[in-house]
Amino acid sequence: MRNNSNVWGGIFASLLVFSVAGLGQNQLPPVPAPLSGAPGAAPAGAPARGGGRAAAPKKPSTPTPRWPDGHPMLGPTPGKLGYWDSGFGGMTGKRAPNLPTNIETSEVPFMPWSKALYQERQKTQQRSDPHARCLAPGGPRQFHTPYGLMLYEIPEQKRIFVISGGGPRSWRIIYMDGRPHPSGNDLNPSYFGHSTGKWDGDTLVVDTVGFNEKFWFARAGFPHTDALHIIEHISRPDYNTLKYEATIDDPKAYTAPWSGGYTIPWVEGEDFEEYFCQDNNRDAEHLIGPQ
Amino acid sequence: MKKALLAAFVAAALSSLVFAQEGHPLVGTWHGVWGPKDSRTDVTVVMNWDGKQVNGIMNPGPDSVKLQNAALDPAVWGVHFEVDIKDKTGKMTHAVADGKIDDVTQIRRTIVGTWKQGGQTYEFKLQRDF
Repeated sequence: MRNNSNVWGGIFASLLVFSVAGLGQNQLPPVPAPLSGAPGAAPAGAPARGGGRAAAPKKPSTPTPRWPDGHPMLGPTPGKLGYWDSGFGGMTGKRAPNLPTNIETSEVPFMPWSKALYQERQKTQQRSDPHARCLAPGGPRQFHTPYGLMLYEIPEQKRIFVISGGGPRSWRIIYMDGRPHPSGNDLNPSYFGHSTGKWDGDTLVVDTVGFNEKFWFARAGFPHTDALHIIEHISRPDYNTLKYEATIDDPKAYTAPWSGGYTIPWVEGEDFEEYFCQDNNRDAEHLIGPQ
Repeated sequence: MKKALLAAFVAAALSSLVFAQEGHPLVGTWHGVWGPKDSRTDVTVVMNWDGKQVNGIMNPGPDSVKLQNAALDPAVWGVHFEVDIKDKTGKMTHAVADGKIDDVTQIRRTIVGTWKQGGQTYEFKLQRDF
């Protein structure tokens, strides 16, 4: 089942890389490619973004940029452009850019029904993936949706916006003002849920509840229920790397919480292109699982 | 009146399940029919998953009945539930439904199987709402 997931992920990644490469040759100015071999670089063998340029010579990343109060800046520094080159990485497996602490899919503490449904999704080549129908990517999926990711912190409003360049080009708010999650009927189930964040040293810790069941929280198709609770740990260990890790706690789908994550490389000097999944979306008609 | 209000409350509480799609395969509202081909009976089943067992009701409203022994066998996507319902003469009978989810990954998945009631075995088919 893992192999099927990798095959589909590889096809998707290849299509992404080639489409971005095509755009890059015609429309994008030359920009430095992410550091090859650095944490968060694209998997081995994947062409660099921006026109299929060869990987730039390896050089040390500059230090983590910081706000005046000392905590890491997760977006572009003042006066500069850039975004996180999302699209790679998964919640299981240790192959880069995944974290070496990731568990294997066979170790995920599925319940019988969630394991069977996960396997069924692999067997049908994930053709029922809601994201292919342009539905929003909640949870970790937002951090491995192709076409870029941005985190904008607005200290005055005590909020961080997480903006997806790909998919349905959606966005999510992380409240940093210490508010609690809504409860009861005030917690309206949604694709991104209700997120509150706080800094733990150099790591942003985000607690999210209130998810609906209309999406897959990871490309691989791990099932979840409305009891899903995700705790994300997000840090920027150096200028070019975002480290993302999520703990999945869903007592109606898994017998125990489990964690996984990956690193995401920084693209310096450009914004992500305007892209909407809904525009000329041909994904769904090309999903060819058994009929 | 009290019974009707209670039923309306239960139906309203369960109505949120209509929107569930990608989670537990049984969760949601299912519409369909059971009975002989020349005399189908419409049926609506609302199911939920609490993390340990499947539960739910049939025919939400004043005459709703609670599902008994509802279960999913993920090895074959088998579905089982039982209900105590009135037959066409008004007599209370016990019905046992056994079916299988067809194409579990699809939003508009179906359950097809047998409906045993009053010593007879019929076909039944349910399709999940969006």
